[in-house]
Amino acid sequence: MTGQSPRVVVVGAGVIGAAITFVLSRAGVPVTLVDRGPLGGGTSSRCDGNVLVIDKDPGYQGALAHLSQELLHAWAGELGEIEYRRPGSYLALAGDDEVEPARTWVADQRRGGLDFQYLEAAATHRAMPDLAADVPGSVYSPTDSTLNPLAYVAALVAKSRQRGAATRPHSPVAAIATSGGRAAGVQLEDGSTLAADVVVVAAGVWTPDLLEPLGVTVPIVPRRGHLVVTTKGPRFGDVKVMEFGYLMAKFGRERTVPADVDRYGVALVYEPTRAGNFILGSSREFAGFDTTPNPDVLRAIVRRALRFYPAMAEASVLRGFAGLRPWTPDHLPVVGWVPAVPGLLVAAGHEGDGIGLAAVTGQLVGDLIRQERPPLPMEPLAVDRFGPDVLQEAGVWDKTRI
Amino acid sequence: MSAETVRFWLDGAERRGPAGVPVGFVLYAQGERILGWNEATGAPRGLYCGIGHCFECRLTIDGVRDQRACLVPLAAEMQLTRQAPPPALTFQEVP
Amino acid sequence: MSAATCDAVVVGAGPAGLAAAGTLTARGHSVLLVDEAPVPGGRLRAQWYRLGSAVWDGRAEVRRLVEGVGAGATWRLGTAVHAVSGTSDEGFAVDLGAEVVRARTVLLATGATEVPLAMPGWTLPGVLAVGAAQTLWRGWHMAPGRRGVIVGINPLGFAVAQELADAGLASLAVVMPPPGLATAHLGSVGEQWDRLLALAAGAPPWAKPVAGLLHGRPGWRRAAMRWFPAQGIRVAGARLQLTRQALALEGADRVEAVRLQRLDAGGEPVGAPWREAVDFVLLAGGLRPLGELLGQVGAAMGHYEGLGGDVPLVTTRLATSRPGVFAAGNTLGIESARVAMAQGGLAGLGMAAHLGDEPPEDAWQRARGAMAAARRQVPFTFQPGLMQARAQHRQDSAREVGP
Repeated sequence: MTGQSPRVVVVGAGVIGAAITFVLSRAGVPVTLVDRGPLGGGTSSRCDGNVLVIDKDPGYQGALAHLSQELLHAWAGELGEIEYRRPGSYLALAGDDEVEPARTWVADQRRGGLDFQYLEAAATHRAMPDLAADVPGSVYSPTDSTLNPLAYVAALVAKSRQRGAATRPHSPVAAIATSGGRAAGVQLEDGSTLAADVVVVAAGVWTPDLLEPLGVTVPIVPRRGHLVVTTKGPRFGDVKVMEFGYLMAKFGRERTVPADVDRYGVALVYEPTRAGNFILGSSREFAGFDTTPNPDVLRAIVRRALRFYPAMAEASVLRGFAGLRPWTPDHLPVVGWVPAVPGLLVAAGHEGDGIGLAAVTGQLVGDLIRQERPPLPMEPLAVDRFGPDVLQEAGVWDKTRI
Repeated sequence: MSAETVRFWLDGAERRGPAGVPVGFVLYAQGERILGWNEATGAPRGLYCGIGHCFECRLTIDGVRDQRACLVPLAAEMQLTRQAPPPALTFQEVP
Repeated sequence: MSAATCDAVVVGAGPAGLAAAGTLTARGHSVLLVDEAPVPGGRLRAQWYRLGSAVWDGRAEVRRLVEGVGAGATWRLGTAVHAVSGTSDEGFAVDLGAEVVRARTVLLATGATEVPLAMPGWTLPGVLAVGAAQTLWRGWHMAPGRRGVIVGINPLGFAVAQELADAGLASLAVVMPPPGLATAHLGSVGEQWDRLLALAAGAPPWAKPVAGLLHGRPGWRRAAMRWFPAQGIRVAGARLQLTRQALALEGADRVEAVRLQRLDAGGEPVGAPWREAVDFVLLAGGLRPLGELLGQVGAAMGHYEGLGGDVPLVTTRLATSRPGVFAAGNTLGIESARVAMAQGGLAGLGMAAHLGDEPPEDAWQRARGAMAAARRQVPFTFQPGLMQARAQHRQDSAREVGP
């Protein structure tokens, strides 16, 4: 290490890498942010702006998300116009069979210290007057917030630059350089090398490719999601609404839904944006690295939205696109030192929560590098937490499902 | 232009214009610069790109929302309606 | 022919799409032509300029091309393509909203879009993309207004200015865009000068004064700027005011004024800004290739500033990396309508070959000859660095998608 502060290279300029760079540059750590493409041009440019606890498993995952919300709330003023607001979010129920699971969910979250509420039909329809009349109830989480993900990444990068961070877009990393067994920087495809004392790999779904040559395996697999953007037009309320079945889809539980909804893991996500358009989601598929949008999935998303918002039939679709969530087998990100390679850190695998968990991830990585005590135990996020069976299964997916 | 002049309606008011010319151009030439309002800000919007790319000239035409005025040729008895901006966005925090 | 299945779907009925469709129907293949616009021709329809004693009349060219397509094609005008999915082997599914058409090969000839100069006030009614003014005037004989300015320097702006001046409209001023736009490469005075130099190099009639002024010599930029007349010089019927910058467009419900700033030789502001009344403003930010469907089908792309942005990598037969999907026209880079037509002819042959109807060698030679001739005839260069970008694109394409 040189002097007081290690030189850091962050690989991957998505929201995770940008948040880490923001935290490090704020602490005066010399940091360079590298990406093979434009800044924030990967998964962070193909997502919604959810910053949620409502869809997290009660316990550690919920606590992590809640901490991230509080950090973001504190950062928001400094970051300028990122269209941040905190309207709370709702999970609408599709049928009576979801009422009991939803009540249980609320009870579990409340035991975990989060202020969730179960709303009966009357309160649900007061809060969301455009919802289909047969929606029997909803779950409400008051701290959930939203932002414009493109503006968020841009603001994190801009603030980092102001504090002296360097950025290297369009600079593909060929390999992580090592010296005497420890990370020594990155070698770029153009042949040059960026020397560093610490290398942070925050490359989302592309992380395993960078780690594999060092003999480090992390089970991060792309899980494709589609989104639909409407024209600016009629709106259906200014709060974020998802369906309770989103949790079932996310965690792979049984649902009683139409075949295409089940096949593509479709669940309603309704996100009104400040620009006046709204975003509709969602879908979940293991389909490799192919981001070619599938019109059948887009149609299934629209049909699912109409089940909850019949009046949306008069709205017009502007476009649809697909992105790749970095999925892990236990739905928690991988954040921590690589035990086998000193100086190498991983911060990836946030599935669909990268926007929401970026702030806490930045904080945790900053604490690790500056040898401060993190606000949460980090064992659940450890790089080496996956047993050989899980790694083997991830390897099988690599070959057959991707 | 030697196009046939036909009757059409703008926000319920009777008008006449050349059939076959995209309605966005017809209205521009008749001095109607405002074709709608930005749904988030309420700011007026009009013909901009003229080739269907910018989506700023959207009108309700014969009852169908979000038709690009620069692409739809004027036809006799067409009903053109400017889309009122939705109620102002609150974007307030829920207490 | 049933529209539900055909040999080829051509998306975009501009010069490239029409030429490709004509090539395919001439060889007996069934073609479906789709365009969002209610009339064929795309932007070619609105082109009209003098080339020495000759006239390039876009409408006449469109008529000729449509005749060439003949009766072997089915038309879907006023129709947008929502998606292209599937593969050539199983038949692409081209989703037109109201119907889904199957075809073994698809041409994406979606043209270009104008780069927005997102300056303060640019969304006011009465502020038009310069191409919209050209369509208004040339397409429908409607004037954009009585007193206006063009912001930004590019060939389309001068072509429109010339037409409006010929029509006896009040003269237009061409001024510089404001600093700090998101489309930054258009925002600097230096970039605008380079653009002018690129224009002057081809020296179309209206660019003669500029060409005479600059001779394309390096180092002239600053000197020329120093003595550049404050009132501007006349170019193509417009007043070119390189030492004036538009800071903002102003008005309540429509554009009523432009706020202007004088610049010194270094492009720095001097004195206080002032307002001038206008009733229309044309934004001339240049063109960039439109490649949404290429992105959607997952064709390999590359970024080339000299070609205007992101374009697909293609073989010399204009096949993209997706078997059966071809590209032609401005979606392959910003060049002239003649080049687009020649590309369409070439792509049409490529698509025929893909359908198992390999054209004879002399057909290929004619198509390649037409392309070379079209490139020689280009009246002006649209993008600085076009030649280098084209070469780089050729090299990358050969590596990534083959010869």
